[in-house]
Amino acid sequence: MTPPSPFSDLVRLATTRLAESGVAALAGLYDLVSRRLVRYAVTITSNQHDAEDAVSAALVRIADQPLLLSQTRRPWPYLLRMVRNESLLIARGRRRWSMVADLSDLRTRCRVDELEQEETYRAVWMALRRLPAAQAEVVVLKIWEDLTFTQIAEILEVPPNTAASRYRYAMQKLSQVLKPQCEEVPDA
Amino acid sequence: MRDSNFPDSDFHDSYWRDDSNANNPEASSDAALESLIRAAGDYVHPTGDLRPRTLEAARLRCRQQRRASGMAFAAILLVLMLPSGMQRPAHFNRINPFSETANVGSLRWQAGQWQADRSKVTSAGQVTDGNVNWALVEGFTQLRRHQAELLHGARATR
Repeated sequence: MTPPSPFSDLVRLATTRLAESGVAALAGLYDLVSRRLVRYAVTITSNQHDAEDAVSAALVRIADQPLLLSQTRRPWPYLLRMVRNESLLIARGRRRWSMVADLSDLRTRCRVDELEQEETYRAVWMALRRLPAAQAEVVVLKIWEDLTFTQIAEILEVPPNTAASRYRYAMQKLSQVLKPQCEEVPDA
Repeated sequence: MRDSNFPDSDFHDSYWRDDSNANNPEASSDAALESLIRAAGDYVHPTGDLRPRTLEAARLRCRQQRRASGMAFAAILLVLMLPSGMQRPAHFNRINPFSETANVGSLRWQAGQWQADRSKVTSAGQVTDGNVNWALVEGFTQLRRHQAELLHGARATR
């Protein structure tokens, strides 16, 4: 079993405050997790509006029953799983036409000193959208959330090896699509 | 690319972070790809209205929940109190004789019955208001007598 991450501890702290102070403390939890949850949900729903609905539904549920989260051993993976379930529900229910072709639904922000990188960021997001959702979400959880394959497997309810192989296939595809951008990046 | 067989996830995690892969060109290109993807993580943000929308929805939900639980409590209280209001214990009726007999409607009806019985004996005349009034007095006297008997009975059983 992997130990809880520092971010998970922060989520637990925010949830404990929520349980003690009621719905007024939801703002703290929102500020802590919303950006991460939205970018994860976007990989499942392929649409930011749907992703935000999923995040909102999950957080409202947490505000209603904060003990759901505060009593779990790893609140952050648990919250990710809640958002995943909400995202899948919304994605199945709405069946929007695919928005893979562009990123027009995304609300993006780029710092002034990163404007040169914007095209690269767009290419990365576009490449992630072209992946199957099952593979894209493993990439997001692995790279952006820095989770282990064991934790990812718990969230996705698949064996750890399945999560690892999905990641491997996704990285193969991404390396082909993002080859020009990778060549521009100096040695990591 | 990489070996497709991963004995377990921990091995796989350590494989990705293993320093021995630093000189491996494939591993370094993977690291470059990972850093490229990681850098794009902060590109997408939630829309400005998500925060107030979520907080408002949560507040509304909590308010509804509180109202629903309040109504449920009231309903439970009503269900618990209703039978006790409808059914009095038998011993209460025995102790409080007024609960059994102190009913104006039934008293008038009884008075009418007594007067009718008396009218049959004296003559076959109809019951008039004056007669009914006297019958009421008689009925009331009988009622007090009956209550006194009940009270004596209740004391005797204590």
